[in-house]
Amino acid sequence: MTKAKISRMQYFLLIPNLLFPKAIGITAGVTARRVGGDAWTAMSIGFVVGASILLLMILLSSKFPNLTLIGIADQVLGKWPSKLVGLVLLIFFIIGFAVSANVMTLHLKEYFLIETPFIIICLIYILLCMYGVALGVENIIRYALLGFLGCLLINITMVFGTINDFEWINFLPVFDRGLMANIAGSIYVLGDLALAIMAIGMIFPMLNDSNKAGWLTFWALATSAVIIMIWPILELGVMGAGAMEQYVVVCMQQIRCAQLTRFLPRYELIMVFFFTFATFVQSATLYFCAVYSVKQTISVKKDWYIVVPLAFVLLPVTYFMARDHNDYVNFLDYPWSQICTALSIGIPLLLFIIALVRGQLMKDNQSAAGSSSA
Amino acid sequence: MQQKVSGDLRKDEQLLIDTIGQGLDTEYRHLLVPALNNASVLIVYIKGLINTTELEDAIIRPLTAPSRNANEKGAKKTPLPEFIESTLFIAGVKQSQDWTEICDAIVSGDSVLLINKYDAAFILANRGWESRAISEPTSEVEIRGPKDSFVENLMPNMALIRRRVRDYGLRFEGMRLGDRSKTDVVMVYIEGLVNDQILHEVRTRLQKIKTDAIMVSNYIEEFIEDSKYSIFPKMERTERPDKASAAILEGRIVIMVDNTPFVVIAPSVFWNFLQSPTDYYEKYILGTFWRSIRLLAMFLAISSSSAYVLLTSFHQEMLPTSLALKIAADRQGVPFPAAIEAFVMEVLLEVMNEAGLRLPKALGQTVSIVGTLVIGQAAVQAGLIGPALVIAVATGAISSYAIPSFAMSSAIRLLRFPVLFCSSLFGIFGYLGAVIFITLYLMSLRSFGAPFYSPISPFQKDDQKDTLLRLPRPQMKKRPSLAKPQDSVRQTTTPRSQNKSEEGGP
Repeated sequence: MTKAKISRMQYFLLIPNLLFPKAIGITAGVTARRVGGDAWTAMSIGFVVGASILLLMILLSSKFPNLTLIGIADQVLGKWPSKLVGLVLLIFFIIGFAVSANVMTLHLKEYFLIETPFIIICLIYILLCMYGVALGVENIIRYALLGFLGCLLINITMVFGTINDFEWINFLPVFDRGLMANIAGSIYVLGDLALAIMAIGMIFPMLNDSNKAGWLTFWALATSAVIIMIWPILELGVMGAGAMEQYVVVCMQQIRCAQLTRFLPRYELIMVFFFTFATFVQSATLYFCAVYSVKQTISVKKDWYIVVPLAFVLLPVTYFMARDHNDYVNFLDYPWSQICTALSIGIPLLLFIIALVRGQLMKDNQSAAGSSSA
Repeated sequence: MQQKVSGDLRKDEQLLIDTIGQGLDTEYRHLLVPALNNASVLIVYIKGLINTTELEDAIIRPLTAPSRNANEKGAKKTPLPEFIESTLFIAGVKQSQDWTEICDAIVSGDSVLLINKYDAAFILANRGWESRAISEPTSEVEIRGPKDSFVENLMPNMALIRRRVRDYGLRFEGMRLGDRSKTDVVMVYIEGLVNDQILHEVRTRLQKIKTDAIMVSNYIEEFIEDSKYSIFPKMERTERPDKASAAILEGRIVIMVDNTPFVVIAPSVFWNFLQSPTDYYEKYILGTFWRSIRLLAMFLAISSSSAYVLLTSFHQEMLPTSLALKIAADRQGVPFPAAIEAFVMEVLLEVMNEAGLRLPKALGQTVSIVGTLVIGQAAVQAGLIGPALVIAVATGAISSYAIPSFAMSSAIRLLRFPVLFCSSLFGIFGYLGAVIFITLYLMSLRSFGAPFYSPISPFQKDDQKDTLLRLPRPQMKKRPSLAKPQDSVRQTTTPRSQNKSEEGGP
């Protein structure tokens, strides 16, 4: 796995894929439930805060260019604390995978396969992701191009389908709940960004050219923000905050509001078609990160020894998390977003500060690669 | 076989008889050569494989002609090899002592000359057998462009390439594969253009083939391709010399196999299989349009019957109301679920397809009529299947034929079944799962080191000029990076820019 290399373009395209599916699918609704019509401002704040954490992560990774987050922890904190970081990341990625997978499974269960047992949907989706991981992270990330194109196509069709029903009045008053409520509401976007931050922390060493990686990440994040923020803005403009709060999968309601032509009164199917690619990339990448966390923490050589047993862990976690969609939404509301915020800020910041205090940020850490990355 | 030529003609003849036999087609012909003081010689050849006229006129007649110098005293004696080379009027003479080489030459169509009291044989290159004339390609028909195609004989095939590529670096590197078939296999490439690593890899893989026989080029393909169990072809096959020459000029390697009119091209990527020479023989915009049509056709070939099943069985609400009502009305009374209907129709279509391919033309038409009328129209009228399904299945079938490569088209047709199966079980989820599975698999494949799904993913910006798009020829300044050619520049200037500068423009 460590030999895998990804190009700058693949890296650029991966970031929107890591953010888009859950952010448009679930987060907008959860945020609207907390801050009503201020969902788009709260999400915008979340993006700004998240971007700075992600850039901190990139700064840290570029100081240790050949090391994953666990490898950096090993260098900075020592062997046993790094094992603890590895364990924390493993749990984070397992739950992150379940959160991501359930974006897809809930779409399917609630809109397309109402009679199919939920466990079957979870099982098939996990098997699909497992296949992707077995083929290698390079192949998953190659899929990011299709995922990104899918995201663009959904956005274009959604904008054309709903723009006629757009009402500016739904935005007023801006900052209705106050700035503090908006900042508190931004935590849900941080939950999404945390997945990207941690995943980038694991994947960054595979980037074949990390020159100006900060700028690359910044532009990838800016692109992601644009294609994601269109959704809460249009959802609010078309449906209004009241309607947004009522649904778990708000984007599907938005698509149901859209009518492309008289012949395509409903195009949820087309939307899901485009949406699935990005969701797959997000879920499979998180699965890979979980596998890689185990690999680095307990130094297992064979991937299959981790990939298959991990599927047996992911299945119940995914199933029980969203068996009842209210439980899922409640979990995202509390404590998942809070945990994500704490970890995504805490781990990179802690490592950065300790490395800075120890003077490791000034050293050339290139040579340390081999020892820590399994 | 370790023996060498002994120089005792009787003994050597017996050894040859023991090795290659004395069958109806094998000729052992004894002569006396006046120029060699009536020395006894033996010519051995296989009757159907040599050029008989050449044998008589260029070998036997000169050998048996009375010598001018034989009776002259003090005449300078010419060494035997030089005498043979200067006396016989044939393209090549090679001296050998190795029995394996001598026997190989005989079974390959050369004649062998043995001379009494001389411990070497002369291999005389006078191959010539009945062969099909160069004709129009049958499986890759193009409206414009050259009308010639490869034949089963290596020599004319090499000439067809040489006529198109007159580069001094063009190489025909031969080897003989198959312990029993001893088939001639030739690697064709341009030295100085082809990537040395890829060339070495192809050569090594070919040399590693240890088998009894190579009958057709597909044998070679199966031996040397990556991911041998894959359903997708990873090397292009063509019977068109223009296509093979174009591949050589891109720095790729063409492998020719004796007795096969199809050559294989390495490395190849997925998108090569959706391209056709016609794309380059018409205006660029048409080339781009046809490529997009083929891409659509590939999508329809995989998806049409699956879309029918998932829309009628799982997601009826996604259809426009009028269409949903029409399909429902047409399906009223159909005794089978949509999935069974679709499977049966797809299987029947494949049966008809297979029958149509094997039968003579006249009978093939009968099969088409029976298939269309009886299985299609009558089944609909009898209420056994819905008419919309017939349209869906027929659309898929016709679309699959729009893919230029037969191997890729067949792979796509076969993939319809698992996709249909998944769609029948889980609707859109099954369909998307199958599509993701297939695409991921495609992305994981490689062809001699080149990612099979490139240049789309991994994305190669420069190669987009000739992948899904087909830009005007002057814009394609670089060769595709697929084969990592040593010289990536195809052209430096365009005629238009030259004209502009001549006119004093910018």
